[in-house]
Amino acid sequence: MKKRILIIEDNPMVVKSLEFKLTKDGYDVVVAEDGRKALEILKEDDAIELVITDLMLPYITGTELIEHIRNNTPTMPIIVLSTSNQEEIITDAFMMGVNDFITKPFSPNELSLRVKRTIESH
Amino acid sequence: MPDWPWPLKVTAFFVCLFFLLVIVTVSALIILRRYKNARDRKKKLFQDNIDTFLNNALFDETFNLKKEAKTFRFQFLTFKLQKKIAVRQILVYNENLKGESSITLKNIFRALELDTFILDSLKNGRWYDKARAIYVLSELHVKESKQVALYLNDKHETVRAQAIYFYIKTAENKPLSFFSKLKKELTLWELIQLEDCLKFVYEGATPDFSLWLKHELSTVLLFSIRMIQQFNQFEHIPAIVPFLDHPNEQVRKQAVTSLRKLNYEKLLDEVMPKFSKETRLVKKEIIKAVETLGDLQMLHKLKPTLEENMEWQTQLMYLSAEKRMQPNF
Repeated sequence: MKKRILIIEDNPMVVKSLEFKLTKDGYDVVVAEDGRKALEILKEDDAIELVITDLMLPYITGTELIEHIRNNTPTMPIIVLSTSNQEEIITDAFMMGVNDFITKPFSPNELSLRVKRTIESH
Repeated sequence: MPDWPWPLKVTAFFVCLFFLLVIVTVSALIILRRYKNARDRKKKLFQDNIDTFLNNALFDETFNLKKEAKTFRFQFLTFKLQKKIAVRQILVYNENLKGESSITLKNIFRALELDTFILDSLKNGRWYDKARAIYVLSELHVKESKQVALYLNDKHETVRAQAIYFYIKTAENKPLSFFSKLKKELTLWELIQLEDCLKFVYEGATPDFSLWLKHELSTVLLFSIRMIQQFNQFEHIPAIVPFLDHPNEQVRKQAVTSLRKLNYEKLLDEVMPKFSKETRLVKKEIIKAVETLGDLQMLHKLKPTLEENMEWQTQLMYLSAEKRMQPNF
């Protein structure tokens, strides 16, 4: 059975590329354009095995979303995909319990490997 | 109607005219709106097509780029608008992706013959088309430096700025090679842009700024002297020293500033004897140099010259420096 990944990202280009690449890699991809929609999907869909999220999102920020996920499903692996490369933000994200942090511009092949590694290690 | 009194006839005429105008305006608005909606739909459809093409080319290993690009070109890249959208989408992808995908994007750009389209708008377009074209060439590292060189001395500042950006962005080394093609003095804004690009856009080895100390444009000299200091190229201090006697006061001022910041020990020996003959701008810089590299006794040597001239700004600066240099300050 295909593993399901939730992508939370408001940039349509990034969404399309991620969706295309991860589908090609054999994953089932679900997309949410904002934090609010992501929370609804997470509440309804138990099959999600990995979350890839941006930090700058409409309505609910990525940080709030990560906090929420960590409180409700502490073992859910999370990968942050963000334009921010400030040390402080990356450290904060890891302190909140994210499993990986990828900065944009990103290499889709590298992201694919990191997704595979994160899923396999959980 | 022929029996109507003339005021009524005039009123009736204007009422009809008004209604006609209203009908024409409303119809025009509706037509324009429908045209815009149709155009947006077409754009969206085309954008989806180019997205699918790009994603296939980027992530499908079985994708034959040469063959598929040819088909796509004939099917979808026939109008200028389509080409513009394709270029914009490639730039968006290029901004967000790196590594192998970034290289593939450049190949896609060429395979779709969008480089020809861009070079054509560089040659024949308006100034904003040219600026845009140079920006695209820079972002996608299309090295057409001969073509872009023509725009380094363009009359429009945005085009010139983009041409400078192109040279720095695409350079693997020697990002300032375009200096040899410059014929116009650089503006303050261009100098700021140049420094910013060198620090944040250029990824190669730090250039040797002393190579440009014989340039005929004084703004290039100013920039090179400033950069030698900014990038701590101490080995080029001897090359800056002769500029303390340059005829342009801005260049002399920059030479004093850079040598002061580079902590050149002999600076005061060089500039203090010339203090009385210097312009106000350079005098201020010399006072700063004495404050940084000298002592109170040296500063007091400048006092007689200041008392001779009624330059209140320089005197004020002298007094502030003197106050800061007091042992109990």
